[in-house]
Amino acid sequence: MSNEEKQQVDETFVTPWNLAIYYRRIFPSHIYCKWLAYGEPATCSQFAQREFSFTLENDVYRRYLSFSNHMEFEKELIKLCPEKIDIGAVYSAKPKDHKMLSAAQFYPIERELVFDIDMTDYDDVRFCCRGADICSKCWTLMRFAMQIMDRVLHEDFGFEHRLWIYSGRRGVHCWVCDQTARELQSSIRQAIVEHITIVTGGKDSSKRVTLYTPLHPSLQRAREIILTEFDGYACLKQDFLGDDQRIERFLRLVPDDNILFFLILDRNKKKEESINKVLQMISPGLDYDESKNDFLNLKFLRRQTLRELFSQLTTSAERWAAFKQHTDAMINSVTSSTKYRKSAYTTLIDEIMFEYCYPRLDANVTKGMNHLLKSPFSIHPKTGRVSIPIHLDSLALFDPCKEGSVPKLNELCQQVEQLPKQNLPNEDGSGEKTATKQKDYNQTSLKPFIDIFARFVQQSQTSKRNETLARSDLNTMLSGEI
Amino acid sequence: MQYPSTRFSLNSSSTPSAKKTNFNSSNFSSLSINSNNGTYMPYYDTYPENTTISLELFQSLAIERLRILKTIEQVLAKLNTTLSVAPMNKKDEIEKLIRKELKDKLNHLKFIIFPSFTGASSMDLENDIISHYILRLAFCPSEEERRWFITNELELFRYRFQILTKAEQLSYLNDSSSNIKQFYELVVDEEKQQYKECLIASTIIKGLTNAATIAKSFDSTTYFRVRFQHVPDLVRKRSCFLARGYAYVSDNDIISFVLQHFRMNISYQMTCSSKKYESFQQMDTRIESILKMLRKKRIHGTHTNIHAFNDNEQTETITYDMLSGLSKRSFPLCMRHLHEQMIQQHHLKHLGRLQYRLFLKGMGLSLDECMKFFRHEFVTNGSMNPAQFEREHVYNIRHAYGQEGKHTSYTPYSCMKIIQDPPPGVNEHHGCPYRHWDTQTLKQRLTNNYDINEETVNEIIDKTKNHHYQIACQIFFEYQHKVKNYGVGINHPNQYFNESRKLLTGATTNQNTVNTSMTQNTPQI
Repeated sequence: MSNEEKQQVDETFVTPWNLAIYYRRIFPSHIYCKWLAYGEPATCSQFAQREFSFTLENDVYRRYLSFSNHMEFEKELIKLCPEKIDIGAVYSAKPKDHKMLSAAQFYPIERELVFDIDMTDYDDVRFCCRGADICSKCWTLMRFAMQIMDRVLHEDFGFEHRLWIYSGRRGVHCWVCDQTARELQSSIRQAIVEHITIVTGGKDSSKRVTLYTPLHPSLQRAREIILTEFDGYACLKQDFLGDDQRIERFLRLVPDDNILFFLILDRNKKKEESINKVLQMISPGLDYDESKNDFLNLKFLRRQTLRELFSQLTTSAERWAAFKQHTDAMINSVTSSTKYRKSAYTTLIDEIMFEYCYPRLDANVTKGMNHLLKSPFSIHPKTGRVSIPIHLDSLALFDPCKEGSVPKLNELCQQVEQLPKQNLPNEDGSGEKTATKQKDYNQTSLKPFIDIFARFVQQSQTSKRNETLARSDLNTMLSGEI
Repeated sequence: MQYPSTRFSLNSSSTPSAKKTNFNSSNFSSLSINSNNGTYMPYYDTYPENTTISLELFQSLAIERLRILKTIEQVLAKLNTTLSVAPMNKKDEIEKLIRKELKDKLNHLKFIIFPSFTGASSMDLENDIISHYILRLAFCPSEEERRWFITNELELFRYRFQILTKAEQLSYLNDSSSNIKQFYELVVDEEKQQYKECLIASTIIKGLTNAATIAKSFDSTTYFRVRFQHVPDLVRKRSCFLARGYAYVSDNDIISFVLQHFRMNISYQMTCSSKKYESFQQMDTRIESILKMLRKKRIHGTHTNIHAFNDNEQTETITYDMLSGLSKRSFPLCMRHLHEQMIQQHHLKHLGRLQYRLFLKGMGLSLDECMKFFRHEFVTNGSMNPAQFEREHVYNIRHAYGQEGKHTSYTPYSCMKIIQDPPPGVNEHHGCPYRHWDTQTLKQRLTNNYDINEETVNEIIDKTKNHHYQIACQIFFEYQHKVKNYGVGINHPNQYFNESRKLLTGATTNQNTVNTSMTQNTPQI
């Protein structure tokens, strides 16, 4: 985005004036603060030792902000009017005092287990948009990611309180708020990330997903989820085998057959006969010509075969079907004595689907406890969209590209400005002000999302009592007591 | 000498006093031996009190244990692995090497490495525990020493645990004198059958084990149910079945759980100890001098060849415009690749920046020059606007040079760290090429981009396949500098660079006038 464009967007959506209205009349700060206090009283250390970071006008970052209670938070929020709010960890002391403290006195003690999935990481497998752009087509990837991750977090790790947030632009975040999750050490967070991560390696590696049969139960689930939509998504929405360039990208994932391998297995037959037999198997209609002695060239046969096969077909759907058929034929034709080779094919179709669709995480956000992450209900400074919670039941349906699905700052401001005059905040009484405020957002398009959030906060606090049991379990272990 | 109870009470916060046992030699053995044939593993969660020990014994026990730990560290560094990741056949090699190195060098603690058939005596057990606690005390004050101690104690623990028979391992888990019993449950048959498919599917790691074999031994396998937090190694490798926060761990993998239990106990207790250590005033001077000696001894020897490379030894002044020339002649492949990506993309992702920046610092590029370099690539050649650069990168670069934040001057990454750190993700370029690139890419690049002849390429590929990444790097070095059997093992990118400069600048001073082509690329050496 050029500077000029950016300027324009800023003017249209995010102005200090709009932000002021938003924080005074719409931002659900009382629920928000209740969330971060996790059932402890208003002045508790949970909240007071939490790091906030505000991005002010002209990209001025202010890290290590902290507020001793809800009133102070709200007051500062209205005063500073940040373009963006980030949430950090709960520290061993108040973050605003961190300069006076040594590293031994000031360290993170708690942090939600957070995940950040960003569409830019999928650039090599989406053909509709690039970089920060998204559309309904590629958003399917985020829906896959949310469904797969949510089930892993729930079914594998047993986390109950998962808050999914649309970041406001091109990705989603997940905040796991269970007490056990918040207390996880960094090394275990990393282990969780690695458990989930399947797509590894940079561009340097040609093929980045390697699976083994049988799949781990959590990957079997992921596969089921991807299968529900893969054909529609990859063939129709992305047209992933639509042109030569895409086909080449696809073929990079297909291992080249080494014909010598097959020959060794058929050792007892005559060489020529044996080669021809293998050729018939992997590429019908091709004869091996001994006089040319192009033994090594045969290595590239499989990709070439597919290239030719694809060129006879027109649509991605046909090509994908042909590929699957071809691979299945390979699996079945290979005898049991070639088990090793066979394993490369049995997982191939899955590997390709995972390469195109499996979630790609920004691991560093999850690993570190002190990493900042954009807060729910913060405004995205570039788009003016509100970071809104997504209901767990609609992870498979949510689509920010649909008109009106995500409230924008300027729309919300217009909505409150149109409210009857008596609802304007009364500057004198603060108690009354909160009451009015509640009414204000209730009459905007943000209401359904605040309801989702409020219910989430409610639930994450009621089961606190059960969690203290699990927590004491862990603490006993840590202390080494008998 | 009376064993001063206050000293070891450094740990008392974590061991409730009611649980402390007053040891003497006789009841000591009854508590700790947990198998019939005498092979023995301690829990190290209680320590002897009111025991007398001579100062000489105190010292020699500590030195012996330190020797064991250092030997393990060296053997693993030499083979470039750890016991946790090493494949089965390599484990034997490691064990053999450890035994060879320690042969005839142990006295009181000999049974730790060479368990005898007659078992350990109660004296042995006491020595084991005392020596462990002396080193705990010596290494608790600083974080780095703590980490070193814990890492190597864990390797030692693993070494000892995997020698035990399955029955002995089970009896270790079942010992009522430890709290370990609280943290697992045996999976009952009913549940085991219910999850049969999942359990079998989760046990197969990287296709190495055959599904049929596992299914066959399924019935005789014992499964344990533990919290997933207690087996991070298995979670990471996706090699245990997970359900609702619990991991199902087979008796083959239970070592992960045991080790994590050990790690958590020891690291928590040592952190507590370190906080008290500072305020601990009336330390007996004799003890204090022994502890000091131990700390010194740890660094001496093991670390002489692993130089920190925090300050450049070279005398040449390096400016940023020299980097491209230098990268072709003297950079190891990992850094050369980062440099090339930097020049091509005008950007590097976070971990790449970290790895490359510290290397540049280590080779003596000044803060100013480093800043110039990054600004030149990101802003002048790249598309980043200057304000963004100021905001997002200036601080980080200054931070790496110890000018911001904690004012620590960070140490450039060693090969070990680069190899073990998380592999590069999408569009990331950090890491060790021999470790993280797939064979095909490595081969292609070595041949096409770096003009290595086929024979050498194959040699390098061969080494990487056997996980000898640093040897592969050395072959690259030897090829690049046209030397044979250059006797320096590569264990740090900056060492690679320094060795390279030594060879090349040595050449230029000798053939000062002749070698003009070289001075074109690397001006003013």
